[in-house]
Amino acid sequence: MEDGLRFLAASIAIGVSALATGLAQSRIGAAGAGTIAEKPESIGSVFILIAIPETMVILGFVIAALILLAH
Amino acid sequence: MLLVDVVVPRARSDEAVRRLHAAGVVHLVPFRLPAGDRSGVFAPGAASVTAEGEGWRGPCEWLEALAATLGPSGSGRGPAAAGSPRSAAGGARGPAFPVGRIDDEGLRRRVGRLAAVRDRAEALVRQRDETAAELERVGRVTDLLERVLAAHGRLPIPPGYAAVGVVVPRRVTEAFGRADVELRGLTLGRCAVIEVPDGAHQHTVVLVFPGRFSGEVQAMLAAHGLRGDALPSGPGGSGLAADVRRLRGERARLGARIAWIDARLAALCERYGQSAALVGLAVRDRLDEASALPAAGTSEHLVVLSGWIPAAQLGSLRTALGPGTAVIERHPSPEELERAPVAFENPPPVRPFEPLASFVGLPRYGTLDPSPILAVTFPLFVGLMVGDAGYGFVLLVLLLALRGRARSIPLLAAAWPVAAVAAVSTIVFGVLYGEWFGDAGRWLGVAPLWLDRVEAVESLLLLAVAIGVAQVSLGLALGAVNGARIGDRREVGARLSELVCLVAVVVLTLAGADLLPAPVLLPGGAVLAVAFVALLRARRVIAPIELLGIVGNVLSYARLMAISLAAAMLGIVANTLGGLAGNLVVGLLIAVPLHALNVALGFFDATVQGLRLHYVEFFTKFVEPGHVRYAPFRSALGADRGLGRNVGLEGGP
Repeated sequence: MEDGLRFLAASIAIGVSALATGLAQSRIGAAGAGTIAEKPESIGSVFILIAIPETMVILGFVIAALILLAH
Repeated sequence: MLLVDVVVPRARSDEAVRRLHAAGVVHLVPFRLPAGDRSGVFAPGAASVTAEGEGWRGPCEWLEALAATLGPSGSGRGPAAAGSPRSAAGGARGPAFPVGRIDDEGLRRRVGRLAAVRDRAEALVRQRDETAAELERVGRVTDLLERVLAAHGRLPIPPGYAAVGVVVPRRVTEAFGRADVELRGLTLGRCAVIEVPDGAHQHTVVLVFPGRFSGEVQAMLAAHGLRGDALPSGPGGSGLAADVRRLRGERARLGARIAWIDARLAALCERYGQSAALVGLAVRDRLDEASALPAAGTSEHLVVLSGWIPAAQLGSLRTALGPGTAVIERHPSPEELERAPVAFENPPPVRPFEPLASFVGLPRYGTLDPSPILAVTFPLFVGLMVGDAGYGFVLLVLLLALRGRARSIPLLAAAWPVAAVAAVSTIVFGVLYGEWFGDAGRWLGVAPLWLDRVEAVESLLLLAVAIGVAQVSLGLALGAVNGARIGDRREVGARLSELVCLVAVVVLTLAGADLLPAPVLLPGGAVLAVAFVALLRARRVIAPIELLGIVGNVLSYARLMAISLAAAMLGIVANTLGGLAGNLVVGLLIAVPLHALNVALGFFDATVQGLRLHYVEFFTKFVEPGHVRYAPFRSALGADRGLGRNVGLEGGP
């Protein structure tokens, strides 16, 4: 039972953060594609902006890893 | 870089600009009056492009277009290298172009001669385009009639009627349905629609209708985004086979006509390609020189051209400009320093990494260049993430196979050395992890030299975060150094406070996890409190966000472990699935494509994530992007021929 709850907690930690990252990146990516189409030299800034929400899923991953490994 | 003012008597300004252009070392910037100058002697931008200089603009544009038409980078017509400006220095066929600078009158004569070539080339290109369009139309009609002949044997077109063939892509069949209805309305039902068997992605129909409606039918088809090809209307359709034979002959004739035009263009290219390219470059030089003076400062007697120059080039510039022209080194104002152009100066092994380091923008002049650090850490990250010796060898073999092609493909040439270093790093980490195509090496008794990353997940995670602590700390320290270099004391204080905060947080975390003795908790907490107060003074209200951001930056390096583990597991999955087949050949047929996919995904993902860690987590601590690349005022013709020193050489026309 306890293992089941741990796995559930870990999956929620990474699953929800991955969804949030995906949602944020989809919006930023769409806007970024438009920006690059009009101003190709802005590709570097767009690259960084798209990468920023990834921190959420990485933090989720770290939490999930801690939940699973701290046993 | 030095900021210099080139001061020259107004009467000699044209010659000085030519010499400056030929020297090719000064990055020109608009002249600005010294702060507080109220004398009114100098006026920035007082001179304008002369009518003579402006007169080169038109020829420059059409000569570049002509060189593109005749050269290899244009339409592809003609011998590949004949029109290349670079090949001209090799002395291929064509009118000789003088090595030295030709005078304006001689250049105008050459431009005049090439104007006639332009007219001939444009006429030939126009004829070729028209003939190619006609060939395409005849080809479509021929194909259609051949299918009609095969399906129906004849095409009944009554006298006074016209026929139009329409190829309708499947995705717009609905539009054709509407056109069909409109056609019946337009012709009061006096029409026929003949279906012709066609491929799966389109269907073809022949519309037969009274000839007087031809214009309206074509307009209606165009309104629906369809194109109708008028078909030959033989006597009652009895001559369909003859029409097909005639059209085949027409197709062959048009093909021969295109080949003849191509031969004429190739002959023009052979004879005038080099000349057009070189004269185009010479005219471009004249136009650039004429455009330089408006940015200069002028007085009644003097002209001042301002620009940035590498310190090592100052002597050669003075020599190139000769006596009578003064080159005055000037101390730049803070605003000028802010806009100073940037040039990388790195040893050859680091240079391939410069484009990656400047991808998000060039760093500010006078600050640290991130390229040398990137050259070390980026391949390390890729190796750490992919970490399979077999995959590394696959990439290395691919790169060796592509080595010959890399010379002709600029992107590949730029990426080749970076990818080669990453491949070697991957092999090294693969040996350390004991991985050769997933766990296939283990079956042959290969053991990890360092750690088994599938088993030692926790250690790998700690290693990834430790790398994050090290790189973010280095970034903060370099940020403090950069702040000191540009005289920004607040930035120095902020970066040092952030660094101390980060170290204190790490110490407290380790102590909390019993990895450091408990007595460090109190001094660690005190240091964190003091550093945070200092950070608050430097960053104000955003200090807590900054500190949280830095901790987030460090944790972001956990992706090194996540991607590393994913790559290892995919390799194992490929072998496991292959092993399930129970047959060596079938197993290989399953495992090899999966490993190939893993190689492609692994290197792609590792490259993107490795760069992302540098750009977002590391560079943001010390690189201030968005500055201008050093682009010296340089003769296009001289640069192409490697003649940076053609000052004063006068050649005949």
